[in-house]
Amino acid sequence: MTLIYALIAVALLYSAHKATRVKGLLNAALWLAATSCLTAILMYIMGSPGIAVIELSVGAGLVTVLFVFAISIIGDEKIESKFFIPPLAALLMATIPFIILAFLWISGISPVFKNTPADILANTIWEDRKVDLYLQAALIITGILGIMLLIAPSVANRFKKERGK
Amino acid sequence: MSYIIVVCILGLLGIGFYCLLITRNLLKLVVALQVLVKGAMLAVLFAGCLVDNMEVAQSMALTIIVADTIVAVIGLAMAIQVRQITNTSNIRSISTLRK
Amino acid sequence: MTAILIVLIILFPWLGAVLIWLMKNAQEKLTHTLAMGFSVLSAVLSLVLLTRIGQEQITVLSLGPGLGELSFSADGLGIVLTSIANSIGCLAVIFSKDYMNGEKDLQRYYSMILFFIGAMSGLVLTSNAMLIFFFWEITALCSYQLISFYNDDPKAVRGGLKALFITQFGGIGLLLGSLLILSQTGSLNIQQFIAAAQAGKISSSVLAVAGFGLIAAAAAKSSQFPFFTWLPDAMEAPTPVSALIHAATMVNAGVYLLCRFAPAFQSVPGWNTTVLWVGIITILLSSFMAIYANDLKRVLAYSTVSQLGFLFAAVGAGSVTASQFHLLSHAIFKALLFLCAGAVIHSVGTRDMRLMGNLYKKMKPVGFCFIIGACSLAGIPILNGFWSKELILESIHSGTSLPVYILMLFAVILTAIYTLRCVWMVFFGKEKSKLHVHETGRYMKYTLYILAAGTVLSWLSFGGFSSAFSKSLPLHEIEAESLGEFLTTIVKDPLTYLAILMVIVGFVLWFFHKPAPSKAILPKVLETSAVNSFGFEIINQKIVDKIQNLSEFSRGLQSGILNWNIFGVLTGLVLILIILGIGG
Repeated sequence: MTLIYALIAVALLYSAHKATRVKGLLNAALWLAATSCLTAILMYIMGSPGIAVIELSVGAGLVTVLFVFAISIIGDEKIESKFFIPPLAALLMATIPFIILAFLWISGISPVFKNTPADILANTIWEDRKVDLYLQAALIITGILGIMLLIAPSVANRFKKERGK
Repeated sequence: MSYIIVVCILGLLGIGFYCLLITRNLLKLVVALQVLVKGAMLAVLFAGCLVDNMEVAQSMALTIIVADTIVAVIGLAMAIQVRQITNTSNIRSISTLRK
Repeated sequence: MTAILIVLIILFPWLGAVLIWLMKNAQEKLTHTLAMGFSVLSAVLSLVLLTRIGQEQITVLSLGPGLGELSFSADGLGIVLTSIANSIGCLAVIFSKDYMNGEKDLQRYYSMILFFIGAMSGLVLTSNAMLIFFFWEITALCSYQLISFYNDDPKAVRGGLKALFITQFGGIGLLLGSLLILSQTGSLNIQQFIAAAQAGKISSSVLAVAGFGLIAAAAAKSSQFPFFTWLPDAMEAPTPVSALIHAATMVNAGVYLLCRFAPAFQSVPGWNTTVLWVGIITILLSSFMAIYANDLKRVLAYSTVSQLGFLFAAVGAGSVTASQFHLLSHAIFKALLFLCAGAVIHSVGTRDMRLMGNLYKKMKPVGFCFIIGACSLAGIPILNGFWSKELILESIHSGTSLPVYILMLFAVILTAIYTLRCVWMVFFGKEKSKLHVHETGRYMKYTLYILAAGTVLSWLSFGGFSSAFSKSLPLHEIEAESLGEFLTTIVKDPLTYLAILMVIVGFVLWFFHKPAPSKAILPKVLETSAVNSFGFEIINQKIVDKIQNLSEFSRGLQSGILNWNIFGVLTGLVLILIILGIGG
């Protein structure tokens, strides 16, 4: 079993790497979808099938569709300007904290992965974490505004006009 | 088993942050944020397993998924608008938008 | 029903604020009318709320365990302040109809005032410590915005920034107190905290830190020693704003905070004494500054500071009722004084009292109202200021030692002196320069008449006031007293006549040395140091400059390049991890 898990982990990290480094935005979006799928599998293993399903449908489905939609509007672009941060410094900065974190973490922790009954989860969501629900409602309203902005190129035109004045 | 998950979490966070540090493309920025947040979400679930309080961790993960999706939507919308105004997706262009 | 009323009182002015803000291109007349409509309606709502005083908690929205509830309590302390804020807010808005006529940016002005009124109601009605902080900061924001309303005047902008920075020290104290409450009781509910503190369940050191944090918060907000220099500089705001925010409501938030939390800190050694002495030092310093100031609004600002000192002293002496009753009187007569001053300034076009004089003949209604307010401020029977000040003096006499009482009597003399000086310089005496006097507007006069009537009559509400307090605040252990009992104690008490005598002494002292009252009686050193705010102006100014330099510096860090921001985030993460690694 452990071998399979290790393979999943390697695949996850590889696809995440590909998603961020691959040339071409469309490829990046597809690799991101793959990352999302693999994350969902890990979640399932960790005993959260419900969350895994949502992650699969939203992360791999909805977000990918949005990406493809956005790319189809504005197309790809190769950016010529220099890096703002030297790549070596960036690499160091992105690895050091997580190496320290790993050093602090991996010292005898072995959690138990078990399934949570659906009714307990529902109870937690609807009763104990109401503030999360309010937050989600607010976020979803924001998201609707975002979608409107996504499909409304008129904002840009108006901005240009005002600037022209 | 738990080592594998810790490695996944740290790996995802590291890859996401590295991309945030060097990317100059607004759309790539959204991709990097997505990767980063997946790592964070796994970390929250892992923490839930650690303290045996999976329900709370799961409900928080749910909120994270929602928030993350909205961030992606807003980020993409912004990228499109910025591109149409400035004709480039370079993140430098955002700071030139100020009137 | 009460819950709906409370939510309406907070959200209704906010709705008005948003509406007015959105109608940027509306006609001036429409803006005035909308603002008046919303403020009058919320004033009516707040008066309806007066009938629903009770001690139960009202939960509006539950946020789940850990975060507590958006809960409100309709007790006397909160409701009295809500109705003061809403009624005086409504009068200030009506007054602005004439005062702000033809000004630019009216929607900004009105929406900030309405935003403030809603936040002030929320601040005093909520029973959740974090929500108090939330509303507290909103009032600070509105105050800053309105002080800097004429934002092309560098003095106004500077005054606004100063007010914002100095009151932030208070915000930090309040945040500290709230977090300590959360950590000790596991909830943010104030009643639970007070109950736990009274039962001795909270360790005394934590209680002391929270208590003194709240004193700092209250002193900064209420412009008390050593933070008292921001209020005079806040007088750059339009005068109705000074009347509403910097005399009648926001500056009282500090006193309110002390009154609300007072029962919890009775066991903290030195808490009451500190509050008392902060009040007394402030009274004395600011009274001297008022005697030497020449700007009409600054004199009123200094007198506000000193009257707030009276409220502090009353809380320190252990009488929440006296403090709150004087707060009510002070809110009414000081709003009256400020609005009269506004009418005078609007008519003659200057704030310098040395250029005024003999204005009574030219603007009789305003002058008459101003004199009523001034008499109340000085403590002349039977106006509301007299009764409430007597109540404070009585509580100080019974609650503290004799020297303190003598200092308070001295403060009464000083109050009489600066009040008479101000009235004389503006309305009587020789005409010093040819000032063209405009006619006072209709709406201005109406508001002045209403407030003058309030000044004459508001003390009649003492019976209801006292019983509401004793019924709805069980933790404060207040005894109810009827109006009749109250009047007989005051009238029979020989000390009352002593206080009246002191007022007369003050008047006489000033009259005999009219041209230069100070030079004859008081040494020259006092004058120079009073004009320089006893050195605190320089200290406060330095702090403000330092903060401004710091913010200029941190602005340089915002390069606008996202990669560098992430780099900063990661650097912070590394630092935290290193600290954790060493600590763990």
